[in-house]
Formats: sequence, structure tokens, C-alpha cells
Amino acid sequence: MTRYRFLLTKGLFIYITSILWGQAQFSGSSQLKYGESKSGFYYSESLINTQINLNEFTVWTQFEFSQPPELGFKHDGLRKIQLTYSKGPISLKLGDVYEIWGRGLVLNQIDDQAIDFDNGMRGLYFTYENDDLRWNLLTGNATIWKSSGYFPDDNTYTHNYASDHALMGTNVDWFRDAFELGFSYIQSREAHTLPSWYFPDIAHITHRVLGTRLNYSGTSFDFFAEYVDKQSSGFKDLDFDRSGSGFYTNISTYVSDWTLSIDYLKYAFAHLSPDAFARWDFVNNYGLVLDFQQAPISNLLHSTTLLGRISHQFDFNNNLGYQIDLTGPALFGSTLLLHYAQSSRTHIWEMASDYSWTKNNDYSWKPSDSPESLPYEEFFVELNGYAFDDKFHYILSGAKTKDINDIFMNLKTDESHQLQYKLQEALTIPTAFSWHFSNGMNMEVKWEYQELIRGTWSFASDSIGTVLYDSLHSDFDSYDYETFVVTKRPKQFNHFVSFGFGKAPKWSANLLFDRVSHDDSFDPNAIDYETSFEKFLGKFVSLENTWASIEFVYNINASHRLSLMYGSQKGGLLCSNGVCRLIEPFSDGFKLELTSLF
Amino acid sequence: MFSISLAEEVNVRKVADFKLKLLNGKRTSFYTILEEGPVLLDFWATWCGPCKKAMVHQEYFHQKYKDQGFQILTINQDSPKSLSKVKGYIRSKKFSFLVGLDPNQQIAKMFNAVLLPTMILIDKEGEIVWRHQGFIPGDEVEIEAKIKSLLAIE
Repeated sequence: MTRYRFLLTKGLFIYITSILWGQAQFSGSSQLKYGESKSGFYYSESLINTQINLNEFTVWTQFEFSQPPELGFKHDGLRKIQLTYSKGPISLKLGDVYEIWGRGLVLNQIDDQAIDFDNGMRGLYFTYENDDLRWNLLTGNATIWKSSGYFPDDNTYTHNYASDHALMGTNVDWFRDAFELGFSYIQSREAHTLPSWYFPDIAHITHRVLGTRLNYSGTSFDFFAEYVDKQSSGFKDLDFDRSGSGFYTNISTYVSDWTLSIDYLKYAFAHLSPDAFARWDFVNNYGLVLDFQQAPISNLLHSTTLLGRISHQFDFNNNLGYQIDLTGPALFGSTLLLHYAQSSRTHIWEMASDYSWTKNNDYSWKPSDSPESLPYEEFFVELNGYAFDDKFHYILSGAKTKDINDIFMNLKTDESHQLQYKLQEALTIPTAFSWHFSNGMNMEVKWEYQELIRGTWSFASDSIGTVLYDSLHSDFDSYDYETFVVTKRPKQFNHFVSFGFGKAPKWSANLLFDRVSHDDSFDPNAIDYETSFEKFLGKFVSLENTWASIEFVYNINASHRLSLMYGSQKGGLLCSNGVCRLIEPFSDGFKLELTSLF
Repeated sequence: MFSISLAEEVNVRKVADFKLKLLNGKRTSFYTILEEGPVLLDFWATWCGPCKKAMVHQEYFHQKYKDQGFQILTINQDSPKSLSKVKGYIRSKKFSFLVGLDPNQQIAKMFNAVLLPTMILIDKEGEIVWRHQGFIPGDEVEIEAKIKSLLAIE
């Protein structure tokens, strides 16, 4: 707290004195957001970023005034501050620090307000850099908030669990021609709060992460590899090992305009059993991969609505996977992307006769497609380009994904084998077409189609291998409690359609429809209010299980942009950089946002 | 709580120098790039659709005005999780302008680029002369007009 006050005083001192002297360069931006829906959800959020440069000094601040924000805790006042001194090879940052070492296996700090994830540090960051060498030192504290169903007050708007880390670390990179060689070390003393209804209990854990990496950037190929070793100690009442390692490599080769890129990774920081009380419970099962370690993933980050909603929830504690991308120019000036990814745990999980989980069959380097190892598989193809004198732009893509994201039972005895797991399989076809008229007008149509299978797969065989059952219990099946009739719905059919019009450089408008064949809201009792807009459209087309909205964006001038949304939005999974969060639906309301640069 | 003036004036200020890693692995500084002439900064990411639409035009402007010392410097915002996709995308589109990497958004923060794409036109003296947020097809007409104005081309 004392350090924070010192930072604040120092920052304000420079802020005020530099303005008074009139020698400083001042710039900034602001985002004003307001939203309100009939379900009672509302937010009012102002974010103001300012930056002052005065010779070798820079002060960056972010103020937030929210009652409450769209996601997260309400805040009034200074949210972030960073004072930077930079002269010659020396740079010193004081305040809120966000840095990345290598590809993030040791350190990757981000402040992602879209999903309210912030793993930054408040402290000191020193850099010495010349043509051959870069050396960094960091020290400070990080308080990282997350949501957990294993801690009181779990909800979808604000996080309910914080872990505190006192950090100290160093990083060195050597540069020689096309090569870079780096070493990193970071130590965290974590104060980990354990759930207790009577007396707060805190486990003091020490984590040490040591990493090394090599990078080569050439004309015909690029190569990157990073290895980290993590050791944690100081646990309470936990008898399992928390040492682990992570390895990531990428090799990209270039032939003409074509690129073949292969990512391979093996993360084995912790082996958590599939038991629901273990795998996702970072409160009781502590000492896992650290929140400031945000390593690369082995699947695509999808930006389309329907693919984004079924994003693979990557397990950074235990994953073995690869992805292969082939991309290059195709016919008629188009670009083709072919992508294949596969991953699994580093072993299979089996149940002992007492139903406790045990690891078995370690996979040394290649991921498995066995359901017992929670595999993920993805094939994606995209063709995009321009036609008709660059007036017509098109994106045609397709994805086939299969995700086994939980295993409930895998009991093998002499008499039988019983296997039960959660399956999510989808075929998704996202497309987008736009036409640009010579008078500045343009129109765009986006259409995404998805066939989604989701449910619990059960398998059983007897001692001689005869299959007793092998079938899916779909999440979309419905059961009538009066007639006891089950309506089978093996698939959900989803559509996302948007029609857009605009005139450059001033405005654009979009009409969006998000439709599912069977409602799968995580809160089936939530009322989906029908908007007056939906009532009007409902006279012409059926809008059952449809969320409709209209968006309008107006560029007031080069520095100010206004966007307005009215209608309803479907909730669900929102993922950003491999970190996902459940977002609640938005029913019959409006959202307003004004972004300004100054 | 706040009163906001929606003035169109650009806050003319000299951009501070910063270090930059380019997609080809080389390290440079912004002032080194600026020595060649005016620069259009364009913040983008592989997951940003409008950014990709804008980049086709950036390549056109790069080819058309590079002989006058004008340069396009696109600043990629992909995090390390998707960084390996950047070079393949640039090569597949045959883009030849400069691409800088900003995986922890430090440069974006410096230029207050809160939306993608954000374009900032900077003259040879390092002063910001024009900014633009977002991209609607047709915006390229205004972008080119600003470039021509800066290069004093009729």
C-alpha cells in the first residue's frame, strides 16, 4: 500500500508539474460505455487513458469510473499507472507492469478487459539493452483474480478468488545475427487462500520457474523452441508432486509464397485427475501452472461467433499437442489456409476398483485420440480473397472439431469395461461476403452455420468384449415429466446471420440474428424478453430461440467513434487468447460506447 | 462527471522514439524508420477481419508512394499464443510493407490504440497529423487523400 501511494504521488507530481511547465507532450483516449437490459443488468463504465511525455520520462495512467463495469468489480479512480524513464540503453518502469519473456512459458502478462483477466504486476521493471544483449530485472506484487465454483460468491460478473504473488525475476537475451538465445528465471512467493468457513487459512507456497529458449529467423525458415522447469514447495496437506515442465516449439518453412508452420507443445506442470473436485479446482489443488505463465496453445484462436462459442478450453497444466498450418496464395488471387490440430493429456486416466483415478500409459511425444486421454481434434479450412476489381471480398471456411473435455468414468475390471465422457463435436461453416460500391457505400453479409453434438457418451462391454451399450445421451434431448416421453435431439442446429450496410468513412449498421434449434441457456429459468424489434420482425419470420440485435457505428470525426446496440445477445463462452469465461445473455436492452482519442 | 468536446482537431505532438522488433527478426527503432520519410502506422491482428481488409489497401499505398519516401508500418498485436501465424499470413498475401511485433501491446498503449484497426499518420518530423479508428470498405479513399496531402501530391 505504501508503495502504491508512493507511485501515485510520484506520478501525479510529474503529471502536474509537466503540465504547468507546458513542455510535455500530452495524449490520451477514453471509452465511455453504458448498457441496460430488461433483465435488470446494467453497466456504466468510463475508462480514460492518459500519457505524458517529458524528455526521458513517460507517465501512463488509466482511470476507471464504473458503477459497475460490464464485467468485474466497480472502481472509481486510478486503476493503472506506469512511470517510465528511458535513456540510451537503460529503461526503468515503475508501477503497473505488463511484460512477455519469450513466448510466455515463464512470463506473459496481459490486462484483458473483455474477459476481465488481469495478471499484471505492480512493481519495478529494469531493462538494459544494446545491440547484442537485453537484460531485464523485475520485482513486485501481483494480485490475480479468477472465478471458482469452489469458493464462496461465485457468479458470472465478478471474480471471487484472488491469489497474491510476490515476484522477483530476471531475463537475458543475446542477439547474434539471426539467432536469439534467452534465459529466464522467476520466483513467486504465493499467499494462497484456502477455503475455510471458520478461520481463514493461507498456504505460503514458493514457485521457481526457470526457462531457456532459442530463436532463429531466416529467409527460408524460422525456428523457435522454449523449455521451462517449474518447482513449487510449501504445500499444506497435499502429498503430491508439484514439479513440472513445459516445452513449446515452432518451425515455419517458406517455399515461394507458401508457408508450412508446425507448432508442437508438451506441458506437464500438474496431473490433475478428471474428478470434478480436482481438475478445475485451483483453490484446493494449488501450486498448478501459474497465472502469469500464459503459454502458446495448440489450436486456432477462432474469431467467428459460432466457433468462438465452442472454443476448446485448453488445459495449461497438462497438454500434449501439435498444429499444422499450410497457407499460401490459391486460384484467382485468393488465399488458402489449411489447418489441423490434435492434442490430449500426457497419459490416460483409469479408475481403480475403489473408483479412484490413476494415471496410466504415458504418451511421451504424440497426443492420443483415445477418449481416456481427453483428446481434442480440429480441422479448419479457409479460402479468402477479392474479386471483381477488388470490390467483392469473400471468406469461405469450414471447421470440424471434436472435443472430449471431461471423463466421468473409466473402470476396467476382469468382468467389464465402463467408460463415460463428455463429448462436444461440431461442423461449422462460417462465411462472409462484402461488396464495396464506388460511391463509398458497402454491404456485407455474414452467415455461419453449425451442427453441434453435445452430450455424455456411455460405453460398456463385458468380459469377452461384447458391447453392451455405446451411445450418446444428448444435452439437447428433452423430457416431458407428465407424459414421460423423451424427445431425442442428437444435434443442435445453429445459425448466425448478419446484414451490414455502411458508407465510408462515416457510418455502418448491422442487423444480427443468432439462432439455435434448441435453447441451451445455462440458466433455463432466465426470461428471454422479446424486444419490440423482435416483435416487429416476428410478423414476417419465426424468431423462436433467436437473439436479434441491431448495431450502429458512427464516426463522428477522426477522433471520436460512437457505437450503439439495441436488442438481445446470446450469452455463452467468450474466449480471448486461450482464456475463456462464461458471459450471461443480454436481453432486450441497449449498449452505447463512445471512443475518443485526444 | 465529465464534459466531452468532440473536436476534430488532432492533438499535434511529436512521437517519442521506441524500440521495435520486426517480423524478419531485425530490431530497430521508430526514429530509424522515420529517417526515410513519413509513416502510416496501422495496428492490426490476425484475428481482426476489418484489419485484414485494410491491409490490402496499405500494400497498394506502400507500392504507390514508397518512391516518395512514404512507408507503411503495420504493428501486429497478436499475443504469443498466435504469433506463429503472423509471418505465414503476410507472406501468403505477398505484403511487402514493414511489419512490427507488439505482443504485449506496449506500442499500442503508447499511441492510445484502443480499437483495431487504428491508423496513425506521422510526418517526417515525427508529428501525428491524422488518426483513424476502425475500417469500413471505402475508408481507403480518405486514407489515400491524407497520404497525398502529407506528401503534397495534387
